[in-house]
Amino acid sequence: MEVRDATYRVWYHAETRTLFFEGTLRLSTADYAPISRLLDQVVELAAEHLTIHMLELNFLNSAGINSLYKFAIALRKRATTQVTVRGSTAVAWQQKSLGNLKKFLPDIIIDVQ
Amino acid sequence: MPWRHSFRTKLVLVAGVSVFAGLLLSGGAAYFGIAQLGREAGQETRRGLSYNSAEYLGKHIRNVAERLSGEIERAESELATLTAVAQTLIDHRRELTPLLDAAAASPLLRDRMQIEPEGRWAQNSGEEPAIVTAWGYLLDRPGDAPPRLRADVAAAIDETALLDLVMPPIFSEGSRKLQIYYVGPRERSFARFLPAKDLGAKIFEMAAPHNDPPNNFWDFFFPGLVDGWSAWIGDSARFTALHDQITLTPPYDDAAGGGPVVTLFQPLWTADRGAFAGALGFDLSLTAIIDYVEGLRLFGSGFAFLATDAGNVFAINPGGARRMGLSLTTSAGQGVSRFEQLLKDSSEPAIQGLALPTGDGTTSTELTLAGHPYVLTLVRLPPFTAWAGTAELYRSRWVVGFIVPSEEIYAALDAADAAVTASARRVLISQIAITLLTLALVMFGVILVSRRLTGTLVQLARAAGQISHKNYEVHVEAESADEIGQLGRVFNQMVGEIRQYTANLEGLVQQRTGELERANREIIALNERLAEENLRMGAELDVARRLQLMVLPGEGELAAFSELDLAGFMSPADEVGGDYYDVLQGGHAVKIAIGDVTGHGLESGVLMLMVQTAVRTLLASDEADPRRFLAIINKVLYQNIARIRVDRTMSLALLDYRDGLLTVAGQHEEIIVIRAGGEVERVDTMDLGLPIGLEPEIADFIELAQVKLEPGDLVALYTDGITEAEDPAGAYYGVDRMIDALRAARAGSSAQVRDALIADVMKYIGAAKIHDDITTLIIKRRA
Repeated sequence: MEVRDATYRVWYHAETRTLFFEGTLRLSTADYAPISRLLDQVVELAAEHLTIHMLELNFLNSAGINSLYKFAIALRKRATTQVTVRGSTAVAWQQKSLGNLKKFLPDIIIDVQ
Repeated sequence: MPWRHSFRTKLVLVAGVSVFAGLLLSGGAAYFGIAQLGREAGQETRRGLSYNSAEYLGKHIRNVAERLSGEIERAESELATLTAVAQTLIDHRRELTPLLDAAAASPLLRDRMQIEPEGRWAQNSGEEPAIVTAWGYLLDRPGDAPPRLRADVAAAIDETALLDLVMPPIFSEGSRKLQIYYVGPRERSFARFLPAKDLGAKIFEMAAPHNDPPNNFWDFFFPGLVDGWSAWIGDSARFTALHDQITLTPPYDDAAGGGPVVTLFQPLWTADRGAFAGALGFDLSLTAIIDYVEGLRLFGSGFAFLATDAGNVFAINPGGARRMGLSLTTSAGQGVSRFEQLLKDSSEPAIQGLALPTGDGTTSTELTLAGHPYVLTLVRLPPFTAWAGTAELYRSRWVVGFIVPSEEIYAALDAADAAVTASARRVLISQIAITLLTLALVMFGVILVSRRLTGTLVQLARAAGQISHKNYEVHVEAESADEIGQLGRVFNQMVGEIRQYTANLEGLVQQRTGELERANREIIALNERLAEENLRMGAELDVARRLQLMVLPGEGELAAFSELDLAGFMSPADEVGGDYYDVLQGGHAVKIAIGDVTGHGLESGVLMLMVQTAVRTLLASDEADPRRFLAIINKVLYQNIARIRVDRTMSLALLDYRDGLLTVAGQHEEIIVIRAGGEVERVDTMDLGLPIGLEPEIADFIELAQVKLEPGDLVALYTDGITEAEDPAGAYYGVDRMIDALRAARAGSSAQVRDALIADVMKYIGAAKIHDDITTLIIKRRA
């Protein structure tokens, strides 16, 4: 499962149960639809463990952050998946937004490097 | 090129100056090192010398003190021996009666007492071992009969006749005694005196009143002395060692011209020690002692002195007395004249205030006499009992002093100092010579090397000058392997390229313009395809832009707040974002809102309009709790989003201002506070709420932050369109740049601050694309 364009790539690696975000995501709200679908599928597939790997995600605009929050809320509703986020403090948007993920998903492990 | 601007001159100058400075520094260091060494060695030597001199002076003065006290002690022991004999005669008078009677009758010892022709005193013949004199008041003068020696006096003379055996050898041997004598108790105070001479006449000549009753020898010549001794009666400690009773007078001049003397007395007692029974006295010549003290030479001109502990300097040579500022005064007593040179009367302040030692050890001090430094060493002689004209007998000690000019002690040191100074000067001179010689050599070398070194540079400079005149046919000779040679080769290569470019320029221009033509044709084709699409999109964007701008508070509205100076700015992006701000007067507080709807376009604008309406409505319904306020806005928005099926959320912060206190609720960008003094505070709002419209209930996530605003303090609200604005290279503008711009402009009105910030952001973006709405609201508490 993968969604990609010239500036970004989002894909799910089933063996390691890891969701990868890469590049710069500056799409309009409507253009996030393919990614949102992919995230919905990941929610369906998610077993007891899921890693979200965002170390190579340089920018995520507010519409993208919105999708990420919704993804987190959907995961919370399942309540069976332990989520780990790998992020980077070097990226400004991540510093701000990862805190909100913790609010939506209190059990989330945020691994910031 | 003028010589003083040339590279070579600079090179030579730099090398010369650095060599000169280096040599100067090292030479200076050597010179100061030697001077320092000399100083330290000098200090060390000075310490050693002072220690040695103190040691030497201390030993010497103790030797002198021992010698002087030895002199006195010898006389004391002779006196004690004689007194012991006389005391035995008293203590065993009964047992010795036959012996004493025999002695009194023996031709050798018998005293043939005769009345003086004028009847003034009685005296023996003078051919006997000692002269015996009974003063006028010891004679009976019955009526008209000639005077006779009193019978008790005659008996007392007989009882002491035996002393004539002992006194002569003691007088002639041992210490230098001018006179020795026995004098009876007050009531029989006749004298047995050596050397034999006409004592009666002598004393009469000296002190005629003494001869008449009711006088007695003791009270006349030594007032208080007998009373002083008698005070000891009954004190057994005083009588265990009788020689401790020896009592000294102050030094005085012998009336008979025998020079300075001191008298040593030892009293005699009745057998029961209950009454004074006469005394034996020595007039000890001080001449030898004084000559000895005056003759002492210490170092060059140092001298010694001997003083009583009352501060009377009685032995000192005239030069010493002059240096100590002492002056001699002689006071005439009855029969004796005392000489006094008192320390306290000195003309030298250091001597006037001199404190004599109180212990047994030597003391050493430095003092200044007539502006010159001296070292003074003092030690006390052993104590003795002293009489000074009253019945108060006391323990006294003499003090020996050495005074030596410091410069004589340190003469060797001064010589060493001078040697060190001279050698330091020699080092300085040789250092200067070495400096100058080395400088000359180095300069010579530098000039030689620089000529080689700068040759290529001069060529380069000339060649570059040619190029500036469009002459590209130049070549530099660059053979050396160093950087300058490399520079020359690179230069040649560059000149070659320039030559080639110049020749092929026209061909290049033709090639480039051909590329531009192709690009232009593509752009025109694309433009035609886009025109249709744009028409539709443009209409929607125009509506969104209008929506966004029309709900913002106008300038007049913002000016209506008396406590706050407010200025807002919003510039929608090409694709409108959903930025929002508003300032409204509520019943309890001024409500300030700032927010940013995710995404772009008409839907974002509509959502923003909903929030604005909801805020106004709630404010009108007088909702005072900021938490509830935000929670309700969230719920309304959540429901509306669900209803109109848009995929949008919003960051929103609501601020209440009242009486200088700003209360913040809701998650948005940081709130920047710039204090009037320029201090910066950043209020993070991440924990104050959640994005709006994402969850139906967010009350549990809402926290409040409070900021106290003083007059002149400034608050900046903004959306990420500012901090995420990109320059042409794609780098973000960022919070730090924004803070710098705000701080720099903080003194101005809110409108001026806003204008400065926006100008800074726009300058930063330059020609790059604006991705998002740019919004800010500047709040300043009016002074």
